[in-house]
Amino acid sequence: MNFNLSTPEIISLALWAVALVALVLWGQSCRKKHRNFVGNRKIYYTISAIVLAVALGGLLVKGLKFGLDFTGGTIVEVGAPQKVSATTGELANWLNQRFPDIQDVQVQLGQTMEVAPNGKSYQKILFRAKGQGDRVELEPEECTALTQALQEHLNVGELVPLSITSIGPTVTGELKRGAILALMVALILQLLYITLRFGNQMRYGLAADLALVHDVVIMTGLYALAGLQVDSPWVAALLTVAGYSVMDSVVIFDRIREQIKSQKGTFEKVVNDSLNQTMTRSVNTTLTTVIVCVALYFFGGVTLKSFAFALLVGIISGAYSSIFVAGPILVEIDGWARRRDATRAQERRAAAEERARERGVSSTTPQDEHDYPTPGELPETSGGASMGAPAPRARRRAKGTRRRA
Amino acid sequence: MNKNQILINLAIIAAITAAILLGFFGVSPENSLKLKLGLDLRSGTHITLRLLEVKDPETGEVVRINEEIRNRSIQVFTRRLNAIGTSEILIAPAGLDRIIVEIPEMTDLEKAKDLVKKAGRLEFKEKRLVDGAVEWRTRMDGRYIAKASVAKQGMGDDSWAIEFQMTSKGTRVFGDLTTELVNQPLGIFFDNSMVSEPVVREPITGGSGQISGAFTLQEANDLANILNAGALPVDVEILEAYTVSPTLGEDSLRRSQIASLLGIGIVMLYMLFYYRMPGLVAAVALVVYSIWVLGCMVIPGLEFVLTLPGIAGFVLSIGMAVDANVLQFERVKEELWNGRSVRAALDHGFDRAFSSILDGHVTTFLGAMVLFWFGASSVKGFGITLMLGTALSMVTAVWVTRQLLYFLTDFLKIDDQSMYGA
Repeated sequence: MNFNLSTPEIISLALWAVALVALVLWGQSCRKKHRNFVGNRKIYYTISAIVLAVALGGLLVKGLKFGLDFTGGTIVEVGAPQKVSATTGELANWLNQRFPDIQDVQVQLGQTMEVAPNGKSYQKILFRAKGQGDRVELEPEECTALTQALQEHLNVGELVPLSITSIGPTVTGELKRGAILALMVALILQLLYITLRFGNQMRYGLAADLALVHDVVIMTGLYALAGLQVDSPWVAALLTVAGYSVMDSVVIFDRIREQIKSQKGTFEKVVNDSLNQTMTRSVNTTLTTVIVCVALYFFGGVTLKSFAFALLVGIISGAYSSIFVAGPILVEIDGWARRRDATRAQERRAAAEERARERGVSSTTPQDEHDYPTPGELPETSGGASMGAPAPRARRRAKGTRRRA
Repeated sequence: MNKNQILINLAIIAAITAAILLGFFGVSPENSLKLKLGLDLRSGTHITLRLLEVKDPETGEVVRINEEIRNRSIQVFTRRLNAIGTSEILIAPAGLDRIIVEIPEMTDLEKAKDLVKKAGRLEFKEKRLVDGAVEWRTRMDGRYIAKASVAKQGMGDDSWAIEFQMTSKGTRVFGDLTTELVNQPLGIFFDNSMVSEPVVREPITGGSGQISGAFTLQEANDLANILNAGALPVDVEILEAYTVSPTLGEDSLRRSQIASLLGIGIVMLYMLFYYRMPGLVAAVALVVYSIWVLGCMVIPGLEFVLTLPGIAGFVLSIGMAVDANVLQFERVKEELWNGRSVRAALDHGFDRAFSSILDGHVTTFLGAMVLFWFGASSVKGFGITLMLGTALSMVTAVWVTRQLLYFLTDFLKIDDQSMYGA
C-alpha cells in the first residue's frame, strides 16, 4: 500500500509518535505523584497567554483566508501527468494577465504525485477565481478556456479535469451567518445545560465556556498562521471542538462536585485533588482522540487534511484548557465570589451598626451568620451518587496485588 | 442483575450485530444492504437550485413558492433525469425553496446544468400588431402535449425536428386555434425564445404536429425529453454546482477507509495494552459500536448518505466512545484500590462514572445537533453522523460493555484483580 508520505511528513509522524509515548509516560507518572496544578496556575496561565498571543498575532498579521464556501467563485481542479516546475505565484500572475476578466486568481499545486485508481500518476493543480463585479461564478466556457490556456503554457501534456466547483453569493452569505449563529447557539445551549446540571451555579458553565473561547481563539489563530482556508469543514471542526472541550471540562467538574461532598478541604484543595484524580483519564482520552486525528491527518487524503489539522489543534488545546485553565479559573471565580461576599457582608454589618447606633441598641446582629457561604458549597443534585466513599488519595491497599506503582 | 438477564442481554446484542452483518454480507451480493455513498466518495455532479418567485402572466400576481410548487418541481426533475438513465439520482428538498440534485457518474457540469435550468415551457403564440409593434400573445402552452419524439427534418442536411402528439383535450384546443389562425403565423416559443414561426396552411385537427428549428440530434433529444417531463411551475436559479471526478472520489473513499481502520486499530491496541481484560472488552464493544453505526445508516427512511465529512464524524465519535470506557475503567481501578471485589468494583465504578459520561455525551450531542440545524449540506452529514455516534456510544459504551464484563466475571470466573488493572 502506497501512502505517498513525503520525508517531512514521515519525520513529523515520528515526532507525533514520540510525543504520544511521552504523554503516556507522563500520564503514568500522574498515578504516583500528586501535583499542585492549582498552586502553579500562574505558570499555566503564562503558557496559555503566550500561545494566545501567538494565535492572535497570527490572526492580525496573516489574517484568515476564506475558502470558496465563504467567498463564492469557482475552483477548477485538474491533474497534470508530469510534475509542474512553475511556482504557484508565477502561474497566478500569468493567468491574471492572460484573463483580465477574472479576478482573485489563486493557484495551488499538489505536493506529491498522486496515483489514480487506473494506475496513472498525476499532480493536482487547483485554480480558483472569481468573475468581475456581481458575477461571482465563472462560466463553463471560461473554465475550459482557462484549462486550455494553462495546458499550452505548462506544456506537460494533457490536463485531465478532476472537478469543478462553483458557489454563488446566496450560499456564501447564508454560510457565514449560519456559522456564527451555530457557534453562539452551541455556546448558550451548553452553558444552560451545565448550569442546570451543576445546581444552578453559573460559575461552572462560565469556566467551561471561558476554556472553550480559549480553544476557539487558538484554533482560529493557528489556522491563520498555517495559511489554511476557512471553509465549512472548518466550522464543523470548530463546533466539534466546542463539544469536546466542554465535555472535557465537565468531566473534571463532575469530580469536583463529588469531592465537595466527600471531603472537607478548601475549595482550592478540592479542585487540585479532582484534577489529580481525573488526570489519567484526561491523558488517555486525549491520547485516543489524538491518535484518530493523526491517522486522519496523515492518511485521510488531501481533502481531510486541513479538517484533521483543525481538530488536532482544537483537541490538544481543549485538553490543556480543561485541566490547566477551566479548573484554576473555577478557583479564581470562587475567590472573587468570596471576597465579594465578604465585602458585602462587611458593608451590611457596618450599615446595621450604623442603624443600631442611631437607635441606641447593642451592635450584635445575629442574622449576619447567613452571609458567609461555605466556599464551593453546592446543593444536592440528582446525578452524582453520594455514598461517602473515602477520598481516593487516602486509599487503602486492597488485599489483591497491585502491580504498577 | 441475575445471570439469566445477562445472558438475555448478550443474546440481544449478538442478535442485532449478527442481523446487521448478515444484511451486509450474508445473502447474495445483489440483495445485500449497501451504504449510500455521497458524491464526494464516488463521482458525479451536485447542483443546488433555488425556485424563483414568478409573476403570473395573466393575473400579474406573484406566485409564492410553497410546498406544492416545490413537490411539483421535484416530480418534473425526476422525470427529466430518469430519462438519462443513471441510477440513484438524488433529488431532495432542502428548505422550502431549495432543491438539491445529485447525479452520480455524470461529470459534464454544463449538460447537467442545462438539464435542470430549463423551465421547459412550450408556448404557441399569436402574432398581433399593436400600434405598429409586433406583439406575441400566448394562446396555448405545452401542458397538453402527450408525447414528444424526434424526427428527421428535411433532406440531405443533418437537422432534426420534434414531433408531438396532443392529448384529446389538447387536440380540440389546438384544432380550434389553428382553425382561427389559418394563413397567419403561429409562433412556437420555448422558454420565452422563439423556435419557429410557421404559417398555418390549414386547420390541424389530428392533434399532432412538428416543430422544426434545425436542431442537432442531441438538441432535439434533450428538448423532447424536457417536453415529455413537463414544464417546471416556476423558474429556477443555480446556487451551487460542482462535479467530482471518479479519480478524486475513489481516492477519497480509499484513503478515508485506510485512515479510519488505522485509527480504530491503534486505539483498540492501546486500550488492550493499557487496561487488559476491560481493554479487550472495550475493543469488542468498539467493534459492536462500529457495526451498529453502519446498521443505523441503512435504516430505510433515515436516508443516510455517507460523505467524507461523515466518515470523519464517525472516526471522531470512536474517540468519544472510548472516552466513556476510559472513565469507567479508571473508576473501577479506584474502587479496586479501595478494597472492593472485582464484581463490586465494576458495579460501583460504572455507576459513578455514569454522570460524567452522560454530561460529556449531552454536550457533544448538543454541538452536533446545532451543526445539523445550521450547517451547510456537507456539514449536515458530519453533524448527523456525530449525533448518531454519540447516541449509540451511550448504549454500547455503557450498556454493552457492562454486559460483556459481567459475562467475564460471572460466567467465565475471570475475577483476578490484576486482570482489571488494580
